[in-house]
Amino acid sequence: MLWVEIGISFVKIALVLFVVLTLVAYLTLAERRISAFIQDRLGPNRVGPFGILQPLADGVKFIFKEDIIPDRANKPFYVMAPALSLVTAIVALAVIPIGKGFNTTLFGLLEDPFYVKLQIADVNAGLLFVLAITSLSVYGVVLGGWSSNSKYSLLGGLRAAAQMISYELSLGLSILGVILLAGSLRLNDIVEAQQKIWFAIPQALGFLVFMVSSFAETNRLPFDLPEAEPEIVAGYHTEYSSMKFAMFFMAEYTHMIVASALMVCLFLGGWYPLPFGGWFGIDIERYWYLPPIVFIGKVFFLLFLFIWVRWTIPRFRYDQVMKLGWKVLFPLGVLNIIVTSAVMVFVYK
Amino acid sequence: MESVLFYIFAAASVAGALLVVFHKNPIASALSLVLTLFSTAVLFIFLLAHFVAAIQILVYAGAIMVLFMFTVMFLNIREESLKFDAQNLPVKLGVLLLILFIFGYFASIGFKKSFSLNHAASLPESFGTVEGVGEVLFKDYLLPFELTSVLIVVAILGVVAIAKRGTD
Amino acid sequence: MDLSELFKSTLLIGPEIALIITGIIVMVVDPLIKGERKRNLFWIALVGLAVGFILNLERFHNGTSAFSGALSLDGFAAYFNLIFIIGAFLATILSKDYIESMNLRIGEYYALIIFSTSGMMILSSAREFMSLFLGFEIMSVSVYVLSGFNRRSVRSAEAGIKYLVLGGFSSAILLYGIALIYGASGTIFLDEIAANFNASNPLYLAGTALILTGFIFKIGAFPLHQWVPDIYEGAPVTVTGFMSVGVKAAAFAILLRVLFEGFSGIEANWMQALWIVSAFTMTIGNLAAIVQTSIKRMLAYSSIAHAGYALVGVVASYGGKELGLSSVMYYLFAYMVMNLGAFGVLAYLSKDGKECETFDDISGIWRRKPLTAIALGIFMFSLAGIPPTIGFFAKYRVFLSAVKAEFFWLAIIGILNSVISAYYYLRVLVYAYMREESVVFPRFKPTSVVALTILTIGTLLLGILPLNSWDLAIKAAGSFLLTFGAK
Repeated sequence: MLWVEIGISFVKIALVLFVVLTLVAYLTLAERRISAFIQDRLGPNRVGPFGILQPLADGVKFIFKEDIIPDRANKPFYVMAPALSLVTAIVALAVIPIGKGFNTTLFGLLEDPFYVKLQIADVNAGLLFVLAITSLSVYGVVLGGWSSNSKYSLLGGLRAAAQMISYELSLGLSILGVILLAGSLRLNDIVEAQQKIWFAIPQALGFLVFMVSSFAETNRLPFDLPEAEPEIVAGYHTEYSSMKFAMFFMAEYTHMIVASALMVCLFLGGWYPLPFGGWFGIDIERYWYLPPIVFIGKVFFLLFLFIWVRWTIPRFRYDQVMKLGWKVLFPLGVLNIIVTSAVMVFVYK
Repeated sequence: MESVLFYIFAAASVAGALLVVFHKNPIASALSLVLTLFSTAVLFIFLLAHFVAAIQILVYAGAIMVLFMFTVMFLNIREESLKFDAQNLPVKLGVLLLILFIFGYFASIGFKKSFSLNHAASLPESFGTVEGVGEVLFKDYLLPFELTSVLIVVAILGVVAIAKRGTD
Repeated sequence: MDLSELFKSTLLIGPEIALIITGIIVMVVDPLIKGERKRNLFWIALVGLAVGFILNLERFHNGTSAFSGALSLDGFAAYFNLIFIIGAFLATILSKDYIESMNLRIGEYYALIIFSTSGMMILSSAREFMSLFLGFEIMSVSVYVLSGFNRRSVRSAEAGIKYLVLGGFSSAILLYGIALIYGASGTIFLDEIAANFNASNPLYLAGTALILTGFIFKIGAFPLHQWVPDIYEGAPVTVTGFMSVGVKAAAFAILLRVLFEGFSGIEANWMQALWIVSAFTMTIGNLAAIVQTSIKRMLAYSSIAHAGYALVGVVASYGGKELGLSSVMYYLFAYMVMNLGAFGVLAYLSKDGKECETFDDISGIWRRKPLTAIALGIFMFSLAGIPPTIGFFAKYRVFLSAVKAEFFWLAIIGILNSVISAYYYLRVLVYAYMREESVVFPRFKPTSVVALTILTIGTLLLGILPLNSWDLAIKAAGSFLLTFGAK
């Protein structure tokens, strides 16, 4: 039984890696196509029908590009930074539950049915795990900026560090309201607690703070100060080329996926299709493939939102970013906790 | 398998701690400390303290060490300015190892004397979970918890008093 | 522990809470008001300390414990709290003119003094290592900042950073000791440690030694005394006065509590260690004080020597003797009065951003400021242990307890040291009374004069009539021994 468990875990890990990396590749295409649509252009449509082979072409191009390491760069850190960035982004997906699970006998190989959870690891403090891992992702960016031995990279790295530390606070605070309502840090329990109503409704303020903070955490516009082109060329990855640059790029998109999945889990009811009423009596143990479809559908919608926002809203000024983080979102997060806990104590008890 | 993993991560945390002290490059030292903190967090998981492990990474590796790196990057210390004094290195290392050895020897005697029974058997159900830690933190150790907040207020006040410009 | 008990415990630590709230009020009000009006924060600080003082008196009558034994609110703690609060109160009064003339930040200064005092109060009643360490750090961190408070002075900044680094190191040693003891006994409560104590287990020995090292650093005793002169000299003089009496007394309080309650299992070992430490501390402090050319530095060395005298009392209370214990406690009280006075005079004579620290700065004050000169004379007599001052009475008690406990040699070393010390204390008076003045003295400062008057009268009056300050010490020592049911 132990070997079956380990084997299934490996299959799950491989599957998640494959899906995520493919998704990342196609996100770049989606980004380009959608931006083209927003700007009334066509976008890449030559490689394959509708350009769907474009990511492949890009990948091949990245691999064959010359890999440049700047003179006097700190080589070990320079090489380590993109890998660190990507790994921390992907590992965070390990605890995201995309559905409940199903029983299988592996096509009759096993005597007793084995229950496969649609999640790699069901950790007691799963939410904390995601936060802990994503909090490490700043190292990749900071190290990349520092080891490149270039002033633009350094500035980008510093900006990234400051921004990510600042917004991590409001991110954590906005989640606390959800934890208070769900009474657990396990992502499964949090999703289950949203059977009656999605937390986005009672926790509207928390959702807002969380969404804005995760835009900042993923360094997406309007918070992409760490790589603001007009000011600091390309920020922390100015000096990177070839696959190393691609890894930074992939890390950014993986972060988007993690942030979207987390938002779905915490505020948008996870695998529950509508804001109210759960599954309306559908036996999801039997139709186990329905919850993942719903979950992934919501993630896609949020990813679209990320891209949409990027091509719609202009960039903040650096001091505005800091002000927004510390003077607006942080107090709002605190207010949200106070109100939530007061309601919990005085109304529901 | 667990004991193999234990030795791997224990070795990693010790190696990280040594690198913090001996590495010439301040950024490398800071990263080594992250390695140590991360490995220690894994050791916490072996002790069934998942919550503490997650907090350890979140707070120490994810926040405090980032601040350290931030500061080091701002100061932009050159490696040349941090020459390691390699004089009598074998002697110094020898003395250090000797002290460690003696200390480890006595510590192992001491711990053998202290722990004859199996403590893991008597763990409460909620051990290591968020609820369990919360119960202990806010009931049994409420006073130290609140005192910690006073300590942090004092530290912040001190930083402001020293770092803020002007006198009025 | 259920909620009602937590609530009850919270009510019991009223004095500590009063001080912490005062500190927070001072801290919050400070940025809200501007300029001259910030001086009024002084009154908030004084009121807070007075409230703490009054609430603390209750503990002399009915000692109790709070937070399931983490804090022992007995007469012993109350007596030490008295030293801290009176010390902080008088230091605050002395500081008012000083920080205004040196142009230092007012709000943070008072807030840190008060927070530091609250840390000391936690420390004096802690019977559990976690609260103990936190109290220790609240006290220390505030004092680190205060010693580097004068940012325009390089020496003050140096003192601050030195104290921070060395103090952090000593805290780490203390924490390591605590970790070893916890590893060996599985508990952080002193009474349970004492119950499980096993002298043949090397972890207990190593832990005790490390914890003792941490305390000896804070006391400023040999062999960890080298930081004292630099930091006492560099820190603003009122801060030096405050920390030389407050931090030292707090470290003694916790030293006594941990040694007698937690580690009485190896009493003979630490007693011998402290015997040697005490003898060296007295001798080195006094010998080094002789050659100093700065009064501030000389007083720093003298403070090392006084830590040595107080340690004589600790050694003499070996086996839980009431006389020895009460003599240490009384000595620290006396030291608070006279040393704060001595530093207070230096603060009084500082002007326009320049501190009074060399012998030239005080020579000839007898001609210009005879009352200040008299006060200085009384404090110096008292520090030297010359009757009829409180210093004499306290020293007499300490040496008497040493003789009664049959530590003759230690008493003799102590008495010889007192004789040596008379040389350098009286040299101050030679300058003050017999030399020509070489600097212009500052004008009359009414606030400081109030504190100096109180201290002078206290030094003299308690020397002639101890009143019930001595009985209080005996009672407090008795309550301490009762707390853990010593023989």
